[in-house]
Amino acid sequence: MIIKWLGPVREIPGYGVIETGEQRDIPKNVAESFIYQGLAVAVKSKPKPEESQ
Amino acid sequence: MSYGQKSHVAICFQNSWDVVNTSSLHHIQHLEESVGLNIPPLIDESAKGIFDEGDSYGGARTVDGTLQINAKAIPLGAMLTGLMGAPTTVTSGAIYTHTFKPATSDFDQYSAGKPITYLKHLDDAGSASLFYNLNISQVEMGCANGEFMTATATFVGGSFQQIADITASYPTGKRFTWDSSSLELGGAANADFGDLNITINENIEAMHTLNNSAYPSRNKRTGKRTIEVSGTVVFDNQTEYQKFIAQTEQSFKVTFKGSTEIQSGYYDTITMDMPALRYSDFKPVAGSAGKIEVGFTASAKYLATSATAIQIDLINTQAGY
Repeated sequence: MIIKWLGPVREIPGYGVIETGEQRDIPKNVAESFIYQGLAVAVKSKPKPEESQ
Repeated sequence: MSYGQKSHVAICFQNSWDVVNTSSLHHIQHLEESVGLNIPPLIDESAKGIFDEGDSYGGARTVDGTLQINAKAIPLGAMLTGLMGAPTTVTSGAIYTHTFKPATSDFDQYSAGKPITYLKHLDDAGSASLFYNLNISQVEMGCANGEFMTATATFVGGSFQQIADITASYPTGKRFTWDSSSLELGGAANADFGDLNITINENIEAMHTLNNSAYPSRNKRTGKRTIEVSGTVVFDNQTEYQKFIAQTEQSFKVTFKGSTEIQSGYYDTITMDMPALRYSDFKPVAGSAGKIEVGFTASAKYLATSATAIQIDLINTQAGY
């Protein structure tokens, strides 16, 4: 799941350091926990061409 | 198999008593922690013709324990906020100077200090423990030569529930070490101290009432605030000994400065300024062979002209607590 980090620069154990505004693809359960904490938002990916038809 | 090194803890400040808050957690890398639920047994003492002890019931529940860290500027600020309340903060670019002074009033009628939610997960694939309605009753900050600066917060009060774990993220930055420390006594730099501990004790305890609950209904002060300074000083001269004999009160300032810039010209810094330090114990002893060091205790007294017994200025990149 791709998230955009809204919080201040933080180290996420096992996933490195993430900067404010950075987008990162991380497992869904981890991403949802950060979204819950208000530290990140989900980034909607563009639909693939065949899905948009 | 669960491992201690995979565990994580976090604290979050509640907006009000009895309302859990996990939305803005401060995850804190811990050295040791012992916060947990106490359920002392309430045992029926009445007799009925047998030697066996009576029925057991669950007694008055409390949560207590300590959290010890190798001090970093951002988590240290969270600990101090729990102890002293929200700081006043001045911003300069991406640098924030937080000024902490001991509270002059309780948070509300139920909670002497800022109520805290404490999250602990032990990497056991089970639920996380969530303790809430906690207060930080005491913070001890110390450093010995050759070591990290440490800080230990003592938690009291508390209610308890279990929730799904919340993933941790940690502030970056370096820790404070002994070689970044400097001391001033009476306004003059001093390099004679071998180790140092500063303990701010708010003397807060959990209080139960008949409130249809086994958990505390309040966290209240049971004594006066004390600020104790202890450590050892190299006995090269009698300067400090004479101050003990004369019971002189002098200013005492301790500074720790981070090792790397957080913005051009700025470093993580903590300064603890006590305007009136008074020795209560200072006994030079001959001891055995080797350098004479004197153990001492002192207390930081409230100075009317400063309107405080201690002021702590913390510089870091955390916008607020």
